Amino acid sequence: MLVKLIELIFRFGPLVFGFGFMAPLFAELIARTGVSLPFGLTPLLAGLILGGGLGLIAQMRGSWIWQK
Amino acid sequence: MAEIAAMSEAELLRREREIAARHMGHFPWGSVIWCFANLTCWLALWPLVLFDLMPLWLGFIIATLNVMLCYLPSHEAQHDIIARPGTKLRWLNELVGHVSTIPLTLSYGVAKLTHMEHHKHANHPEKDPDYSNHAPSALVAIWKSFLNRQPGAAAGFNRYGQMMQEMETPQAGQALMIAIIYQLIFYTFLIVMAWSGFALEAALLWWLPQHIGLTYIQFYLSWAPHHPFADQGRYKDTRAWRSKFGNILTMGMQYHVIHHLYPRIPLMRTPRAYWEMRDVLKARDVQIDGL
Repeated sequence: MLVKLIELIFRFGPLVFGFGFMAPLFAELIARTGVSLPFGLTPLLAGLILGGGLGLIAQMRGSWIWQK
Repeated sequence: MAEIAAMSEAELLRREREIAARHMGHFPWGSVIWCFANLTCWLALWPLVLFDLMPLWLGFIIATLNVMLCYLPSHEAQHDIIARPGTKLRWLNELVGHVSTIPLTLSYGVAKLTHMEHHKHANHPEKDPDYSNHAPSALVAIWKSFLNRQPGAAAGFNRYGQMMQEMETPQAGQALMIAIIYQLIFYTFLIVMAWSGFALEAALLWWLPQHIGLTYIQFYLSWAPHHPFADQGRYKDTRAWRSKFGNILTMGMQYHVIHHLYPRIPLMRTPRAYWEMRDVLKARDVQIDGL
């Protein structure tokens, strides 16, 4: 059970990292720099869209950068 | 030099071994102090930065240096240079091996097993775990270091994990398990810190320094001394080279050829061993680039 869970976490590593780390990191960067956000987005929501989006792309492409 | 040129194969080997023997068996105090000083410094950054006693930008610079510096003491332990198995200070050898690379999140078992394979098969395209660092130029090598750590890459640390599975030994299985635990702790820590309002601190004291430090280590410890990764064999797989950044900034890797010939010579004695052995190495047709 634990092994399966660990395997799952590693299989979806980029997605977990995107939502788990990149999202709050972007949120904190946005909040600290005071960037004004469109559509009434909060820094956290913007962070989730950016970080989660990047994680999703990395998950699908197998790479965080444009080149593989 | 004329004397060396007239030497037979057996005489050359005897001369080489005599020089090497003078440098082996010395306790590497410098590396042991280096390990604990570096780790303590990196650990101290956390309270210093979190309690606003140090600016984050300064913490980031120091943390990056800490990661760059953390591998080599473990490397001494991997070769049992601090203490051989069964000796009184063996625990210290293993302790240094395990704790030194914490900032790099590289487990000692994986580092040691893959490094031994590197020594056995240096520059072999399939068998050398570090072969994926080969690149035609310095800039490409730096870029490749980032490419090799992408989630879908079959190189770099991903290759290390694959090799552990292929070895199918109890030691490799245990090493892989510990490596997985290291990674889980690392990512859990980053995520918990980030959601507690310390995302930038976690990013600049560990995550980003780890990426920069790993690139630096892979560049100077793997790419530079083995470039162009073309030949295999005792006197062919590693070169001596002169860097414009000097010996300290390249972490002693200008003399890496000595390490591959005699892995039990402590890092800090490799320059002296090189200069004593240089004529023998030239007679052996070792690649010497400006040193």
